[in-house]
This record gives sequence, C-alpha cells and structure tokens, in this order.
Amino acid sequence: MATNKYNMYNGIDFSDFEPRPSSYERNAARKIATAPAKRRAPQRPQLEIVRAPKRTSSQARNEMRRTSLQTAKILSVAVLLIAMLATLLYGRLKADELDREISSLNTKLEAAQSENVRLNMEIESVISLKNVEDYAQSQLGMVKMEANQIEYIDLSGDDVVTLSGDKTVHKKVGSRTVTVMEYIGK
Amino acid sequence: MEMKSVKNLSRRATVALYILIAAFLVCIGSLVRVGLIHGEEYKLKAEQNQLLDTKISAERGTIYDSNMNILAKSASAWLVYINPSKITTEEQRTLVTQILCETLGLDEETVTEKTKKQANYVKIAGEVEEEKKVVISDFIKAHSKQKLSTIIGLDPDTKRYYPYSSFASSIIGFVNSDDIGTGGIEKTYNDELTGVSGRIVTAKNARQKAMSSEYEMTYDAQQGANLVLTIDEVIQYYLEQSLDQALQDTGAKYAYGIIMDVDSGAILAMTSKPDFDLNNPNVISNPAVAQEIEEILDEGEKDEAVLNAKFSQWRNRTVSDTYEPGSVFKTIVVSAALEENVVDLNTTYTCVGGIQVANNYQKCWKNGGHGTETLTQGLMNSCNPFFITIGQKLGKDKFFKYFEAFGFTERTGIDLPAEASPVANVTYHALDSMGIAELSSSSFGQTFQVSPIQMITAVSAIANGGKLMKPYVVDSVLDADGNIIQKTSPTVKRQVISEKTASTVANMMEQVVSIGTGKNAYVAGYHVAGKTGTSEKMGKEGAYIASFAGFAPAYNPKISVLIAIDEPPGAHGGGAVAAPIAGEVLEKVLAYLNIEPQYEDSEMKNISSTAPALTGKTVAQAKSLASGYILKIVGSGEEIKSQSPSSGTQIRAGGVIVLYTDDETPKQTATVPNFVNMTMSQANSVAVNSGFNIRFAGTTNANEVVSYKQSVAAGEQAELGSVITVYFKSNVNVQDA
Repeated sequence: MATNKYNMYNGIDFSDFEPRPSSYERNAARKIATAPAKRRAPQRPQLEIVRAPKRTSSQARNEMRRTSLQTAKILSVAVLLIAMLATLLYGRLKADELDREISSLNTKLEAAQSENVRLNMEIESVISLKNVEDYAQSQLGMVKMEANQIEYIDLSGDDVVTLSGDKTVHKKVGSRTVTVMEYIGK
Repeated sequence: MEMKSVKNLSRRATVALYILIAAFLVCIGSLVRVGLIHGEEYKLKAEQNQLLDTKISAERGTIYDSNMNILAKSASAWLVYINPSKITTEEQRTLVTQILCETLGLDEETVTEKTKKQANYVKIAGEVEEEKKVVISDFIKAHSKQKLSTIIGLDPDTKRYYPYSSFASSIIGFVNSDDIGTGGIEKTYNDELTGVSGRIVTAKNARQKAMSSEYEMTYDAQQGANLVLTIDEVIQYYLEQSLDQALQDTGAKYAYGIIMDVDSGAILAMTSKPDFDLNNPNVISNPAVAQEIEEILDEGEKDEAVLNAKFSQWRNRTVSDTYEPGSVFKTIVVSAALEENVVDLNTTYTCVGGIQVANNYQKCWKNGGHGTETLTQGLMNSCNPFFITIGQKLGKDKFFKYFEAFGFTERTGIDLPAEASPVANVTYHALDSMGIAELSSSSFGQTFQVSPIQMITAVSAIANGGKLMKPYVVDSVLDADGNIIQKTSPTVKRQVISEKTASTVANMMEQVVSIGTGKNAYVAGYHVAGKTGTSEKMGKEGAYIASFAGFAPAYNPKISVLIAIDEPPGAHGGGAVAAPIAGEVLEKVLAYLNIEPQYEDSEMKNISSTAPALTGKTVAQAKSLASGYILKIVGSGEEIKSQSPSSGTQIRAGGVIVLYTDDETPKQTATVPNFVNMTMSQANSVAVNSGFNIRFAGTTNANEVVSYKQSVAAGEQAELGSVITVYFKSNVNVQDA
C-alpha cells in the first residue's frame, strides 16, 4: 500500500522541483571557465578571557550601596504593591460585608415595618367604635349625648366690630399727653 | 497522462470548494438558527444562567373611609411550605408536624398527611406573621442535625389586614391567597390597588451566588393606589349596630340597609347582615348555620352546604339581590302621577276595601276600606285600590316612562361588583307585555323586583329635587404619596321629575312618618319623610320583606335611608319592623352630622332634663336644689360625696338621684325590671319605683305607643339611679299591606 502511495506521483516530473543549477553552470559562455574554488569553512575564534579591572574598596562600597539602594527600592515598590493589593482586597471585603449588612438591615426594616402595620392594625381593632362605646357605657357609666344637649351657635351673620367707646388705651394716653403738654406750656 | 492528472486535481479542488461552501452554509445556517430563530430563547437561557432575578412584590394599596381611618392595609408576611420528598425519617416527620401545628395552629392530622405527599412543594400556610416565622426559623436552627432546613421553607408573602373584622365587609370585600380582590371594592378596584411588581437583577458568580451590588440593578415596585371611600366609619357603625340588633330582636333571616347622600349619590353606609370576618372570610360567621353544616353527614352534601353558606355571607344583598318593593314604590307612582298632572293634592278616592281589576278583585289590606281619602291620606294609609286607580289613570306608557326614568330598567352603575341586572319580563314587566293586571299590581309595588340600591337611588331623586344620581362608594384614588390621582364627581343621570313635584311628594312622605304608617320612623326634633313597604317574597309563601325608605330632614334633605328586614318570623309589616330601625339610625346619624334639631312644643315635654350637680353640697342644700327629683340618700354623713346619675346626665323630671354621703358605702344596685310592652307612663312609673331613671326613645309622639326593647336587659343588676333607655313604637295604623 505504501508503494502505491508513492506511485501516485509517477506522472509528476520531479525534476521541476530540483534546485536549479547555479548561474555558472547554466551560462554557456562560462562552461569552460573553472568554477571558483569552494570557500573553506570559517574557523571558530578562540575565546579570550577578559579580566575585570580591579576595583577600589570605595568603588566596591559605592556599588554595594547602589545595589542595596536598588534592592530597597524594589522592596519598597513590592511592599507598596502588596499594600495596595491588600487595601484593594480589604476594600472589597469590607464592601461585601457592608452589602451583607445593608441586605440584613433591609430585611430587618421590612420585618419591622410589617410588624408595625400588624401592631397598628391590632390597636385599631382594639379601639374600634364598638369597643370604645361598650367600654364607655359598661365600664365608665357614660351616656351618649343627645341631640337636644347640643347648643348650636349661629355664625351665618356678617362680622361685626364693636368699639369700646372712649375707654381706649390710645385715647387715654392721648389725653394724658395733652395734659402734660398743657402743663409744660403754662 | 499529464492532462489526466490536471483534471484530477481540478476535480478534487472543486470537491474541496463544495465542502467549504457547504461548511460555510452550515455555519451561516447555525448562526441564523441561534441568532435569529432561537435567539430570544438562548438569550433567556444565558440571562438565567448569568443573572439572578428576584421579584419585589408591590404593596397593595390601603383602603380608607371618608375620615381617613384605615379599613384595609397590607404588610409583608411569610408563606410556609414543606418539601416532603426530603423527609427520610419518622423523627423528621414528627418534628415538622409538631412545629407547624404548634406555631400555626393547624390540625395535626392534616399536616401529617401533607408530609406524606409525593411532592417537592406543599404549601402549609400563607400570610404567616414575622413573629411566627421567627419561631419556626429558630426551631429549624435548633434542629440542624435533623436537617429540617431542607424540609421546611419560607417564601415572602403579603398579608391583608382588616382592623375592624366584619365592619363594612360587604363593601370592602377581601383578597384571595394570590392577593387578588375577590369581592367588594377589593375586586372592583383590584387593578388600581395591585400596583406594579419590581425586580432586582443581579449578576451571578460561578457558584451561582449573587455578586456584589455594583452588578445589581433594582427596578422599584410601584405601590398600589390607595382608595378613599365615601363610607363614613361612624355612620356605618350606627347602621350596622342597629341592623345587628334588628336581626337579634326580630329573628329575621337577613337585614340590609343603605344610607346615601341625596345630593351627590355618595354611599355613606351600606351593610348586609349577617356578614363575615374579613380576616377569615372562609369561616362561616353565623354559628347556627355552622352548626347545621356540622351536622350534615354526607361529605359531598356538606361541601356544597359550606360553599353555599360562604357565598351567602359574602353576598352584598343591597346590590346583588332584588326584592318586591311593595308600598315603598307608591312614592314613585305618586311622583309620576303628579308630574303628569294625572292627580293633584285635592284628588280624592273612596276606598271600599277593594277594586275590580280585569277578572280579579284586588283587596285593600284594610278590611272594609279606608273610606274617602285625599292623595296624601292615600299615601299615608298606603291604600292599594287608590294606587291601582292612579296607575290606571296614568296608563302603561306613562307608567313605564317613569319606571324607566327612575332607573328601574337598568343597573345603577355603582362601583361594586355583581350588581343585579334588571331583565324585561323577568324582573319587571316590559311595556309591550304590560296589561291592565300587570299595570295595576305594579302600581302598588308588587309583581316586579328591584334591587335595594335602585330603590334608594330613586327615593333620593325625590329628596334632591328630581335628579337621578349615580351612586358610588369610592370618593378618590390616591397615589403612594397621598396625591389625588382620580376624584369621583357626582353624576346626574337625568332630571326625572320637577323640583316642584319632588317637593310635593317629600311633604306627603313627611306626613307618612308624622301620622301615617311610617310613624315608627319618627325622630323628635327632625322631620323625617319616608314610606313603609311590605312584600311577600316571590315563590316563597309566608316569607316577607319589611322595608322602609325615606330621607331627612324632610324640608332640606341631606341623607336618605333604606332598611329591609328579610323574612322576619313574626310581625312582618314595614311600619312595625323596619320603620323603628330607620328611626333609630336616623336619630344617631342626624345628630352626628350636626343637623340642628327643631323641637316642637309637643316634643319638648318628652325631652329629659339634666341631673343637677349635688356633690360637695350638704344634704339640706341638695334637697333644696333637687326638689323636683326623688332623692335617695345613702350613708350617715352630712356632705354629698358622690351621686348617681352624675351631674349633667339626661334624666326625666321627677327621676331618681342616689346621693352617697360617705366613701365607704358600696354603690347600691338593683335588678333591672322588664319594661317591654308598657306605655310610656307605665314604664316611667316602674322605673321610678325600682330606683332607676328612664329615657324614652323611638316613637314618642303618639299616645298608643308601647315599649318594645330596653338598653339594659331585664334581670340584670344595675346601679341605682342609672339611666335605662326604653324604645317605643306604635302598633296602630302602621300596616301597609
């Protein structure tokens, strides 16, 4: 079966897929010329050991300081990032907690409101007209007012202003002032 | 060879192209199917998967009376259910049954049966209050080992509170377990009261739990509108109180009444007794009926009886039932006849005890007849032959014209459910089929039926100058903030009769109450106009409806009243049974409405005086101050420490005042005597001799009146000097049928 697989390519000229000859080979004018000598494979360069220049102690100290400073910076940023992350997480946690609290308080509020309605309705039923009348009559010995006990006041007439004659404060004060002025004028 | 291979290649490429096109088409098809055809479905599924949708129930609106007293209000509650499939042990079953029965007051057997059902959800009880819910929740927590939390569940629910239980029950109606109005105002105005439910849509996390509030969208519920009724709590109370008493006194099957504002058509009070507790509408309120049902052995028959009893107690008979109006209808006939100038006040008729109508001889209710009488006397005597004659003079065309104009062929349009619908040739005689016999019987209110609400609307038209009003019970609709969003304006349907005719008929009706068959509806200080009626119930021999319809004050009408006593076992005349109740109600209501009484000299003598203030005085001073009273001094002191009755109490001149001269002597009591079936002077003398004071109520302007009930039952112990109200009525010339 495997051979059949390859045989299916019998009708194809594979030479088409072969690499083309180089320009020297194809150029008829150069067929007689010798081909240039093939290049030799380049040799690996030998590794050179470069020695680091000797540092002074102050240089070393400076470098160490720089390194520690950089480390400190990295650490600070890391701490800052962690702190920010922690704050973020805490904030989210707190928000969730507050959400739960709001939800719980809303439930409590709703329960309190429904309880308030229930109690109000209970009060209303206790102080119904029937109960009030029964209590007033049987416990307090009260008797219902009758129509003839009511005195009606007629307010259908126009408003009337009644003057109190000469006995007004203004007139009294006025007359006293005149008396005083007369006394001074004497 | 080469050509062949090229062809082969080309074929294969074509096949590949087809495959690609087919695949592309499949993809496009799938996109169309998913996106367009089933788009909504998948969208919904995705939403369900990603979103948590919680419904916020809208609070049902509140119902107020005209003084803004709460008649119905909703609050959140709980629905308790169980999941019987999770019950695996008998211990769990016992615990579940125990807590539910103890907390919710349920029958143990019923709950146990429910726990054995093959279901995941079985409702146990709705409208459970917070207090009980906490008890159940605590019990579940305390029995966490038994995993009761997987068996008992609690869902949000709402509870409708009716603070005054059965008060105005036939008007208010009630709601079913789904919070839908199923009767009265609750049903008619269900859409307004219901409101719009809200939603909380929250994103769900991978564990199907709600995410924080930033992913939450809340659509607030819109609370239902509030209703302000035209019903006045106090007037309604007076009407109900009197009808309850009437049921008790007469032993009638039903009693119903309406009080209407004659100028606007607003219903001030309306009741149908016996009624039911709005908080427990499914409980049979009448103990006698409940007992009868209990005694039925057949289960099917029992269930039917329970259902009938419930429908009967829920029925608003003032709106849904019809009855023969009897002589009350004569007011309509006389209005029509006066308006058409068929008769006038000087018209006379001689009643000989009956009249020939076609082949029948129609008897007057009074043997021997009323003799010669004027139109007013004819109405006062409720003379049937006179009204048959008036009807015949009027003719069927004019009779029907006014029958129709007064609104008897149509519904009144009141905003209450199940109003009785008049049907031609069934509930009344249509013009085409009205012969002389039908016209004659209709002229005195027989052989046709009207509803009580139709009748009071027609009588109110006489009271208000001839305008037929549309009755209504809802005055305004308020939003949640109390703003008026709808206000009912009085609707005049038509001018039925002229103001002059209306005024003439009103005067005639006043005479009916002053000295005619309606004298038991008399109220001292007020002029009441009215007409009594008695009718035999169609298809029920020996069963009567006694009624009274009228208005007050007669010369400046404010309110109209209709009282009907259905199937009283003994006396059944409207004048004897219904008129005294109308008088009682009117007396209280007119005083409540601050309508000033105008007493005549004859009335003044029966008005009680007030007890003088004697406390703190010496015995000698008291004797001098209260010389017109009988003084009974108790104790050995010199100074009056207390008195009974207290100062200002209404007592009759010559009444008894008990004076206590020390604080140690206990209050003196005595047995209340029986005052029933006595004349006014007899009752007064019995009261004084027994050491009590008496107050006369009811009809006191006629000599023949006798007492028919008393405020404190005979045989009870009462403090000496206390005032006992004794009600009087006339049994002479109050018959009308």
